[in-house]
Amino acid sequence: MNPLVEIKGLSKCYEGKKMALDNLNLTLPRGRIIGLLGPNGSGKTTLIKLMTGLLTPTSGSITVNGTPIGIFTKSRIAYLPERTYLQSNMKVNDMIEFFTEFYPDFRKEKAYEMLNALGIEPKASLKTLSKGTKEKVQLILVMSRDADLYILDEPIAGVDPAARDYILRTIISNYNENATVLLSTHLITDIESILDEVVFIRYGQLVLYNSVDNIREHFGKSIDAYFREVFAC
Amino acid sequence: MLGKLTKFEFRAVNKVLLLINAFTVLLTLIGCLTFASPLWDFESAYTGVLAMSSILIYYIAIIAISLFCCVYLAVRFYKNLYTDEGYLMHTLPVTPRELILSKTIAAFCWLLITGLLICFSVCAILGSAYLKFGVEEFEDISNVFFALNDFTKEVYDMSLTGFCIFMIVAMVVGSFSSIFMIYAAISVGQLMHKHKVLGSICCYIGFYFIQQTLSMITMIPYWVKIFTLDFPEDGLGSYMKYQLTISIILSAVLAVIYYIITEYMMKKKLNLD
Repeated sequence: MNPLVEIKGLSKCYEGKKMALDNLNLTLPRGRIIGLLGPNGSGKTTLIKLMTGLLTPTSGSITVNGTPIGIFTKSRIAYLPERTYLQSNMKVNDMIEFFTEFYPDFRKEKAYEMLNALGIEPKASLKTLSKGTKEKVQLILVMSRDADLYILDEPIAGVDPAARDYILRTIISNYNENATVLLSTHLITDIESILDEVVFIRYGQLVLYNSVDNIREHFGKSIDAYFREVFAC
Repeated sequence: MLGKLTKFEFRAVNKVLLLINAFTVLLTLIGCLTFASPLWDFESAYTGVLAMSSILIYYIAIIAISLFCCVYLAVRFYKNLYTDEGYLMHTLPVTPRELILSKTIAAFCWLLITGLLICFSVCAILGSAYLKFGVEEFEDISNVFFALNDFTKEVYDMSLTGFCIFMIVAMVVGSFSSIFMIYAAISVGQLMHKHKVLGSICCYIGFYFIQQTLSMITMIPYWVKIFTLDFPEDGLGSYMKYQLTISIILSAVLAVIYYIITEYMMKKKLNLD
């Protein structure tokens, strides 16, 4: 089966600044949960923004399902940004309607089921919700899609530990064997148990891309311990 | 997808803009009722002052309403596309063109409604003043139109109908030009990472200055003609007609340029925090 994501010679240079990504080459397969790890300013968010079409690369290319980034890839990628993108003048069920209209792969019933499990009232106005609850709503919207690639930028950073477990269970149970979850976080210990593979990046370059089992076997360490060793200050 | 985007855009702005337009209607009703009231029948030193201040307040309110609509639509565009909400809007399976057009359609419709309502309001208030006080020579209402017709003939070298058509075209083109100027200013201004709003305002002022300068430049050939030759035989009318035509063409050209800038910025230079 052809790979899901192919990144070739990808570079991004912000005007007047140093390279945020420097000639990155990476191929991501289907059916995996992959951790995108790296210290602050390593280029994780830039990579994610390039994959979601929020930025255009300085050079190099990215394809998802063999297609360059564009409308088609956007319809197949479910993206959870670090920011709260919900419109405060809307209600939770308005957002569900919004997603239903724009994404044919959105499963409304699944969304309502998850809202119910997390005790979020569908008729609640978004401006009355706490930051943590808004993050949960966003995650529900993203995970209710039947996408090929889920890109989650710090999905558990702002929510309480109880909801964290539910969210991680949701991530595992909601994607199919043809889909991949790319998850960027600094809370490695919390997500280590669900990861299949990890990508380490630093200074915009790939440091390591390997399976979690291989790392544990070769280095005899957890991902968290290995991360601390590789990126020791 | 353009239809869906437009639907949600209308849904997002309808509430506030309906309210502000309802305020125009309320203001008009109050204005008309004031003229119908017996207040003016009493001869007093204060009547003139009262009339003047009422007109001034009405004038300021109308300006404030139109300004509010423009600012509200500009803020909506900025907030929805260049702040955190942009993370959702720019990752939807839609093109930047569809995003811009959906907002333009909603903004144009609302600006048109607001503009028409303001025209209606002014006519209604003038109408009620006419009914109250009357003007001897305009006793027959058709005389009003004849007088207006003479006026447009003299000042603009056009019949009243021609002038109205000209003004409608100018309003439509001008609305699109203003909308795209705001969008372009915001799209360029967002490049200033830490001061996006300030950047947008500065760009708007810059664009406005360029537009005014261009408008002056387009008038130069006509001024040269006036000063080198004698004052044109057809008088002021031909100048005003020329000026109006040129400003419509300039607005149309600038609208296209502003649109191209906006789309380019959104495609290539998106700078979300």
